[in-house]
Amino acid sequence: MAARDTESEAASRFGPETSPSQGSLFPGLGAELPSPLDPPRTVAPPPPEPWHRGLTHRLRVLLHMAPLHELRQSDTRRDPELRHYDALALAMKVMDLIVDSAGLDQEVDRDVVEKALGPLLAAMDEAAGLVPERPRHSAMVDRVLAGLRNDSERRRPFEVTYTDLDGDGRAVRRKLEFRLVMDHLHPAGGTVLRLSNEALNLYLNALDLDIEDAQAAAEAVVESQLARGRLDDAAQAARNARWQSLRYGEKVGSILRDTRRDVDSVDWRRDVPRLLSDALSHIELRLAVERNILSTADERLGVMSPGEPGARALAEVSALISDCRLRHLDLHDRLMRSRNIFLDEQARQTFAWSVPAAWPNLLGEVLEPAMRADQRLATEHLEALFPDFFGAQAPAVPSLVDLVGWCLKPRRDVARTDVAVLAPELTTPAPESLDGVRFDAASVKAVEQALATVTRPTSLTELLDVVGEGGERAPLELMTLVALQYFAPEEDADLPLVVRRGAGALGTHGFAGDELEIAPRSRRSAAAEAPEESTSARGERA
Amino acid sequence: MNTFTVEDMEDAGRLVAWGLDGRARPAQELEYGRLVERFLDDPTFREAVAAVGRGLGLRLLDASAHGLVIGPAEASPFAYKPADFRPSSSAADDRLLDGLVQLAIAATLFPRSRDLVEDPTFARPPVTVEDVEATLRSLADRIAASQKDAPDPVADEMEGFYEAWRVYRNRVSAMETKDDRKGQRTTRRIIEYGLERLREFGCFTRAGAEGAEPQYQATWRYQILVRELAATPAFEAFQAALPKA
Repeated sequence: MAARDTESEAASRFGPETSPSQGSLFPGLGAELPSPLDPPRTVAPPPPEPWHRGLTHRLRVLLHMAPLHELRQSDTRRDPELRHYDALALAMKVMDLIVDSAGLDQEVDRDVVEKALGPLLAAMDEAAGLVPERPRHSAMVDRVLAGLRNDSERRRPFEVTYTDLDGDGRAVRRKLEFRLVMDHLHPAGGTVLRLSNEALNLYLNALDLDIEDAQAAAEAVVESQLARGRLDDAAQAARNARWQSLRYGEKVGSILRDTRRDVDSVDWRRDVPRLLSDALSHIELRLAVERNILSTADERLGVMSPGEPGARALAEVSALISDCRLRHLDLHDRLMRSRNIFLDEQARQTFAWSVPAAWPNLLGEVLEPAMRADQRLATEHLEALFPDFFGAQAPAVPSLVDLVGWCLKPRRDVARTDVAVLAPELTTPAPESLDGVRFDAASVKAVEQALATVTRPTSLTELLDVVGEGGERAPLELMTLVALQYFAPEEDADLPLVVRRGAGALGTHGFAGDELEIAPRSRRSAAAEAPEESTSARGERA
Repeated sequence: MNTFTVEDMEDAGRLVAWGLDGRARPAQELEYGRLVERFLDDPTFREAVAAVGRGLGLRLLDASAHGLVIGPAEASPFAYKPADFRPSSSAADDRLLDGLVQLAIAATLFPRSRDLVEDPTFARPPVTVEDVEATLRSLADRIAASQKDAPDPVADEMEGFYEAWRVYRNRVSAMETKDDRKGQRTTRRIIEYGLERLREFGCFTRAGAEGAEPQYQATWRYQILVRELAATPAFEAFQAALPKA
């Protein structure tokens, strides 16, 4: 059937097939460029099928529900006093009762049905504002059973006609006959109610679908599409399935994470074990389904030649499902270990610093009451809280020595206009040698060596003397630039040296400005280096 | 009974001194790093530091490679006084708003109670002045909406009950000034001032591109302070202060 599905689907999309070797999977791919030189095919292209057996199959299943819908529609046609009963709900209950006891020693007969439906009927009476009455219940039970047994046709099978298309594409009216509920003779005497095979399958398989289950749906689509060779669509569906797997993994992961954080925040006595076992059975089912999809995909991949365009799509599906499967296996592994995580965490957290049972919600439980409180009261409380936001602070202690020193500090001499300022020569460096354009490696090395010798506070003049020994200009410039960079470092830069203003003025090697003092970084150096003088030395060329 | 050497006590005092400097980092200061390491490793030394702290009226809140966080005990000389916060003004409104802003900064950083439970080494998303303003403004608007049908506050200021949210709501969030500077009395300016003061105390760092709105990143120290020191007393104070409905 799968092959026929494939053919019909693909054929309707791509036109008549030309290649029998590819016919089972991609019949239409060669159709675009049929070569007249190709040898005649051994199999004639089948006519495009507008219909296939799968559709008939589904249609037949659907038609088995017709008597149930009929029951539902009869709700409005019944005697007025029975119209408020929902016959379909009652029929579901009847089928459930019969399934429950089929083949056991206490089977269901009409009396049992009436007894079991009593509470339902009474509830429906109550909803309609009526007083429950036994004769009315009895009449309704009869109606429901009559609907299920086809009493109106003297308990003959239900007959439903439908349209099918035969092999030649002609529409044919067909008749479907089936039963739902039948009376059976019980070995202990009397008759009991039994479900037909059709009804059992309908009730237990078709109606028991978890119809909202997105992942099951996604995977069913992949399976169906793989079977039909609609691989591009299947790849997309597999992506959706993986997305579902990821979400599922996150859900279980968050529980384990919460457990690691606080065992008490998760109910490990009832809720979580149930959830984990649900998850486990879910995963095991998923693993089985995915294995099935994978083997289908691999089987198909085996029959396709690697060059086929569809093979890539199929391989992608296969990879996606493998990934899905790996995620499930990973999750499975975590689930199997989760109980140990709980036990470990319980042992760890029992003896750990205990978290106060409830942390306040600062927004709703603190800020909002504060804003609703009276202004004076709020101010009072807020001022009491103030220190808590800042932590402990060393109070400033006045120092007479510092004060005197500060008072006696000479006025800073800022005007220094006697240095001739030359207009800089602007050149554009070659982009490929931007690093070395100004300072060559020798200069950089000379400066680095000079700085490495700094173990005590050293003035910039001394350092300039050291690097200027060679008589070159570049190391001197680099030295002053590095000193200036260290004087006002980028915020949070962790530099090995500190540079502060030194005593006197700089006036050597053509540089003029405030003297700088370079010292290794020590404790307190950050604190001592208050930015009281913000102007830096000016490294201008004389 | 442990016996401490003079060197132990000196080291303990020195570590406390480092702990009082909120901006110092053990990773940058050799001595601080050594002392914090010793504090974490050596229980005897830990006791010595705790004793020194107690004597000074300090509470050791937490210690890690990020440093030592110290809070003031009650009526400690080390407590930061609200009067120091804004020496330029002592108007009742300003004091209230400064306090509300501090609370709102913490609440913006930890909007849910479970945020407080999280590991403080986890860097919380940075906040901006705008975020804090939004927290306060939306809360004030919401309270205002819920009080729409309530009678207006009593006119006599000394007698009447005048809620804090009204003070906030009456303050504009931005103001046009003649010279394009920020209005000093706008709520945005108050929030910025509060964040900047916290930054001076090593509770926040400022990031963000030049010219863009600065992003304030809470430090480990601030997260510990809010969690260990501020959250619970604040909760208790304002739950007790709730007007009886």
